[in-house]
Amino acid sequence: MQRRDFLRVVGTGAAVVAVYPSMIGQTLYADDGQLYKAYEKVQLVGSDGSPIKASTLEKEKTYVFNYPHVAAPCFLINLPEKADSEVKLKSEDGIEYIWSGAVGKDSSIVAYTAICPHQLTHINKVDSFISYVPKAAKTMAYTEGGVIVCASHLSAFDPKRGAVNLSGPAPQPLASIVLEHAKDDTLWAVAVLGQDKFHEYFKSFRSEFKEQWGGKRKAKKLVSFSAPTVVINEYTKDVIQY
Amino acid sequence: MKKVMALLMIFALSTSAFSAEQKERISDMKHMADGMGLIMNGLLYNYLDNINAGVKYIQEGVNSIHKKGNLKTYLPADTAYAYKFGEKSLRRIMEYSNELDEAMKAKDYDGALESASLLMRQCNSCHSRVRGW
Repeated sequence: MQRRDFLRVVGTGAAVVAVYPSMIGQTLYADDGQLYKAYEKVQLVGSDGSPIKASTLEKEKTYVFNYPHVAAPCFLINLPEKADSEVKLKSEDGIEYIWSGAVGKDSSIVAYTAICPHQLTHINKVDSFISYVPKAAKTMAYTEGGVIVCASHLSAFDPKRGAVNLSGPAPQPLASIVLEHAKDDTLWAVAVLGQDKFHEYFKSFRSEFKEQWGGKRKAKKLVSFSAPTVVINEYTKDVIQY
Repeated sequence: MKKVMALLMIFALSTSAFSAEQKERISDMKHMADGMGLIMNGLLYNYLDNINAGVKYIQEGVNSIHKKGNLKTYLPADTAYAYKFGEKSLRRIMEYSNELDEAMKAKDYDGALESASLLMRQCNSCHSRVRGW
């Protein structure tokens, strides 16, 4: 390979990564405090395998999919109104990062990991002590609805603002799932933004992973190609809200 | 006068019933706390019998709570609504104590230490909610 060809290949690669960050699979800790981890780009699909279309998502209905690990639950919510953009957030250890905003026609579709950063309360196949409380509903965790609430110790997160922690003992926002909304209205998960708790999560619930996923190793496998996405009541038997 | 006496009787009975529930709760919690103490002592001093005894105490405590039947009446009145959280905590405590027991049998002492930490965290998780720490 000639030097000119080599430089051309390197230059093209760098440009592709700059435009599509999901092309790289490593953690980026930028000097400006951004915390971003790209994983394989996967398409959100229904339980029948057909692609989820952003325009068909019902407002304020909570959908659940697993990403980036087979047993890492995430919320997908079409909020009742446009989400804020360029929200500055801070992780538990003081790293600042920017949540760029929601996707979809109304900029209202958001996705977050459904694992509370306080004591790892999460959705599983048996029950869910963390869920979205619609705007018109009431919660003990916050003064108004339209928030994600962890019913274990009553932490509330604002899905309109990058799931920033509003009240309760949670020390940081929920990690968010970076979505891409394609021209054909399909949705893709590409990365995790913010400080996730996957390491602690996979250490803490061995019995549950064995029972529900056939073991920790299988639960920890990375999701590939597509992520089945269902409404929360199809994912879990009991949704507990206070 | 009869009405007053009847009211006093009802009050006295309800107070003593509440005290009985509270006493049972304290007794169960003390038994489990003793178990946790034995586990910690066993881990610190490498005394395996204490760890095994601690696991037994904790599981006896969980079973004793289950035998009471309804967690709604077992919990303090102001946190009775969170009985599902209490039930989940009991399930987790059982899971972690079983994992600790399995780790000990497999001579996996790192695993045992980890299970003991998770067990302790689960105890505190429930206390912080139910007692409102």
